[in-house]
Amino acid sequence: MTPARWDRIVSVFGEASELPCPEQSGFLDVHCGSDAALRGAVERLLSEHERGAGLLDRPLFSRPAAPDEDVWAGRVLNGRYRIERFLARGGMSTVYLGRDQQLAGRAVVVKFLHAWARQYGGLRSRFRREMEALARIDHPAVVGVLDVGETADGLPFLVIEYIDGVTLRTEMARGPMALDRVARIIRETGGAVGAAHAKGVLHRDLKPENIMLERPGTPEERVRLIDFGIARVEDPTDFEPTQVTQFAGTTHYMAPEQLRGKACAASDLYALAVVAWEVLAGGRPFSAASPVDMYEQQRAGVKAAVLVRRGIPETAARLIVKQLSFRAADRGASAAEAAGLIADALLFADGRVWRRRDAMTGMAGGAAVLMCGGYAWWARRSGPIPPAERIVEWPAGAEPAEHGFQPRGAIENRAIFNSEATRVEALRLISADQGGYFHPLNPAQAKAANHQGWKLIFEAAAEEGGITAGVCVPQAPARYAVNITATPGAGDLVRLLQGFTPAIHGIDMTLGGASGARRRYLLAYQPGAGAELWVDGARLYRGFQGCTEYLYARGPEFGVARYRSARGSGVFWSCRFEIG
Amino acid sequence: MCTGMAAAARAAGEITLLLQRVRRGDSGALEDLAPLVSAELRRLAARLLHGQPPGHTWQPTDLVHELWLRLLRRHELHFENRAHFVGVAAHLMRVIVVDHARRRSAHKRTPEAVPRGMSEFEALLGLTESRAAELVSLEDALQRLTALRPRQAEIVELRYFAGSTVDEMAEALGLSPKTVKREWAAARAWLHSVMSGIEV
Repeated sequence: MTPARWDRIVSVFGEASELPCPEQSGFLDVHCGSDAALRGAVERLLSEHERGAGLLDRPLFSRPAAPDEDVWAGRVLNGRYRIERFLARGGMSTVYLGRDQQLAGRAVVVKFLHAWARQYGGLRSRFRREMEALARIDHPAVVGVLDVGETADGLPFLVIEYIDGVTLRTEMARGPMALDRVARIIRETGGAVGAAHAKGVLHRDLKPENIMLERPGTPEERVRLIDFGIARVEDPTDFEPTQVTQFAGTTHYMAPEQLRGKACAASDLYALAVVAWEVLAGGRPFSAASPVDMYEQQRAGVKAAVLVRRGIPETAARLIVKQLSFRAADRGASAAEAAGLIADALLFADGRVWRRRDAMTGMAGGAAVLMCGGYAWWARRSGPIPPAERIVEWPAGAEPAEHGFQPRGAIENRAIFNSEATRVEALRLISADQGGYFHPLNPAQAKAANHQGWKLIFEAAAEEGGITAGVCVPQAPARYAVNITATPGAGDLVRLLQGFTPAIHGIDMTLGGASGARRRYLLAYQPGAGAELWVDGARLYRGFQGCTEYLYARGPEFGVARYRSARGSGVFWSCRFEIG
Repeated sequence: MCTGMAAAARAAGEITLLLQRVRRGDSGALEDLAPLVSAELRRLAARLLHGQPPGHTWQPTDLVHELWLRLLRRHELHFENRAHFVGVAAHLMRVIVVDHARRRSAHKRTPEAVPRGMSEFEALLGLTESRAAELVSLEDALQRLTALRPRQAEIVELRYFAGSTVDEMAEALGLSPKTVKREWAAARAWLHSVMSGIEV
């Protein structure tokens, strides 16, 4: 090729690339004439232009940029939207709270595509096209797009209605929801998804975090669907490793074809069914930590009987499971229709109307919850347990066996006396492999723990290898375990266990302070929200979903393990398990 | 803005003078020069390294050191303004990075070579063997592009090797942002195509 030839190609390409796709062909007809080679070259460049994720699309040294939260505060966009403060940061975009100065300072949400994301070729025009499609969806349950624009330096942004409400996730964490309320939320969400589909827009990221509830808990409660997965990049490989767990979190709602990178309308139906499952029955139909395992579980499928056993009306259970089909073609018709059928089945199970309840009233008292026929499964199915059985405790200084804790594995315990040597104040546990103590729960306790939540509180210090404590609740089903590894000189390492295969892995965090320090740990589980870990009164993690392997027993446990050292050794002062 | 540019131009002019004195063997000039050049380079390096995952022991100063050595070895040491200086630094980045990439992929082709771990700099670049091979093929394509349209190769240097924004490139090259965007789009599409083995 000669420079002159290249100049010509660049010039035709430059103009063609700025035209909408359908007009490009006509433009090339005119400008390339009979020069087929010129046309071929320009078309080749155009197809590269639309493709993202090449080597050059991210400067050599840049990664997904560090949070630049304050960068926009105080700026005014399109002459009317003043950015007030940073709200959140997602995989593709950053969200700010703004004020519309032309409408009496009305609150708005401004969403920017990440600066690094716009370097993907063609992404900007796609972002814009999808924003415009979103703006065309006019549905009361879909968040309204108020404006779109570009900053002076070419960063596209979206101005969205600010929703004053809470997410469905937050509501789920508060406790069980009345069946008629769940039915209405599913119906409205399905209607919103259907309206988007009618305009050719997929949501792609439906989950309880993206379903907002306005005026929650009141008779005027309304669903507002937010955060459509617009302008998604197909190559998530460059995300930093710390986002792996986040990625795993979102795969819980991803249909098999979406895991393969080919989302379609039926993928949103799948996600809606997972949300329905979670709201109604707690937990999720498939719980694998990795996308590959998830795909295998989806292929194996799930039976409606699982939901029926948890008290979901059979017709509704079958309809939900149908939407979880491995093949997209085996799922429902339209989103609105599928959701409507599920909602009806929830309300009119067995030919009768389920008893309606005003949402959330009287929820604080446990007794009220236990007696309401119309609440989701965990409330209806857990029988009352005596107050004495709500607490399982091994108090400081006592012999664990006297309090119903059974030894497990190769374990040895040595008393540690107080400074005056007058009483035992703690136990040092030692194991050449791993071992500890375990308290089996009776079925009523296990069920109540599952349905009403629980807390595990223990005071301990890791000396060699590591200590471990946790709760296994097979019906949930999950094991919530915390491992604390002594790492002299580096502060102790905390791992929230997510799986055993192919290797023990989980969410790792480092504790400040001295290695081997005595600390008070609190692991608190709420149905629908997972577990939170608190250390010495500070919350370290929330939304821990546990691990689903080796669920052989139920109840709280604590012990030591060798990990990478010659033996495991640690001191425990106490361990207490509370239900509710 | 204007005073900033003027100050930058003054600094660049000063750097040029000092570099010429260094080259004449004036060791006192080196002492005067170091802080000036380092400040400029450090600013560039810090931006290049911005957003790196924590835990990298590679510091902006290490990069500055390597750039600085290269700079001293260059013959034409005259900077008109800061934008020009950044352009030179971007070019040096390309030279340094491609050097590393070539060494890494040459190593791969030597069967008896002992497998070697990555240096910190290579780790920073994410310089796996496949990435190294990509960078080498980018360099080959870039040299062809230089022959076709030097301006586009400069844009690729500024954008890819120095992380410059459109506005910065426009300033450095004396072009409008719109032109820079078009040139970049064409260069990017051509390079990606050629690197994937499809001639245009």
